[in-house]
Amino acid sequence: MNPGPQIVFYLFGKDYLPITDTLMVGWLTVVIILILAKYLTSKMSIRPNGKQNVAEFIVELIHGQIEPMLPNEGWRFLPFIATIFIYIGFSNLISLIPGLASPTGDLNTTLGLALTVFLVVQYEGMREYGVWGYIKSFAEPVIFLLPINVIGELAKPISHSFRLFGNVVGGGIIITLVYQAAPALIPVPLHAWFGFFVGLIQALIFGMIAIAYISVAKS
Amino acid sequence: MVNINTTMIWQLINFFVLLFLLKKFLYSPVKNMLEQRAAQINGDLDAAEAEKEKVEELKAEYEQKLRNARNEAQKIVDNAETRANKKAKDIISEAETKAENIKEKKLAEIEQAKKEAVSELRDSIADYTILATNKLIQEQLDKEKHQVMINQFIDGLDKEKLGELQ
Repeated sequence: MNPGPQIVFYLFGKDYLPITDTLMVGWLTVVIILILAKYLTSKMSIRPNGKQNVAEFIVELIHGQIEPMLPNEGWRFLPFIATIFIYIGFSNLISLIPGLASPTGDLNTTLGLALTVFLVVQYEGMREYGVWGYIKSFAEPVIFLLPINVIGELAKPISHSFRLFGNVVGGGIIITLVYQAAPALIPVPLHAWFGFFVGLIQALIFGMIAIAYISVAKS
Repeated sequence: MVNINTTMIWQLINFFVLLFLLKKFLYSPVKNMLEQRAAQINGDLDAAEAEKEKVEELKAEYEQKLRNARNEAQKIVDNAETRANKKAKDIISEAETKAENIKEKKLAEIEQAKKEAVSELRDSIADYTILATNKLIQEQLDKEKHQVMINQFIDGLDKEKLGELQ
């Protein structure tokens, strides 16, 4: 047993261009999300119908999470944060289909996203206080705290990415083990638990933490 | 298990492509729709408020008109009632006068008829007395004959005239 991403093939036969199963499932996830989004927002009208209500509900739900922490900037951050919620949420849920590896079970995905969040946080901090003002804020309240603050800041993407990665991979390993031990009985509810609840909760946590980091950098 | 490689770049491409396309297909349309709806609802609410004010004004106006009309109607009814009462009183008094006149006329007529009847009766009695007296005078008779004659007269009277007199 070898948990984690499996390399399916090498692009152009180059060793440094591996295509993993998690990446292929990631593409599948993107396609599914886009088809769903296109379907939900087709033929929109002022008086919403069933599927339009779903689209509006999702967008407003996410907007409702951003707005209290980043007042008046809900719509500005919505595309970034909502894409995190939706992509990670669907990536976690897709592992409910047996045989598909969750893209978030690959550290490349979670670390990539966490680093993107990290860059956005730095950008927003500098945008709010100016480059020098933001850098200076690491030396506050006293200069001795500068290394600790810097380490704390650099640790953010690590903890951010490993939290999601660990939860998903851990859930996957447990499910795999239980499948081997009791193939018919327990795995179904357990699989649903890890896929559905843990998946959605981890997506929510990842997104909320991203909002919190941006909010902290701006305050 | 933990292996950093080009998958990270691929996944970031995935993420940003998804971000771009979702913005185009989901966020922007939904946001536009929400804003459009908010604008429309605001407009509708404003319009409704204006409409409501107008309705209030119209209502006050119509109520005033209705009150006026009601007063007018009341006045007309009162007027008509007064006039009707007056007319009724006039008619009654006229009728009473007429009835009084008729009554007096009839009483006078009755009085007249009574007088006429009495005088007629008196004439008749006088006639009969004269007749009886003539008969007495025509026949110079003794006491017995006198008696017989009176009796005869009375008998005759009984037979001939009693019915009439009675």
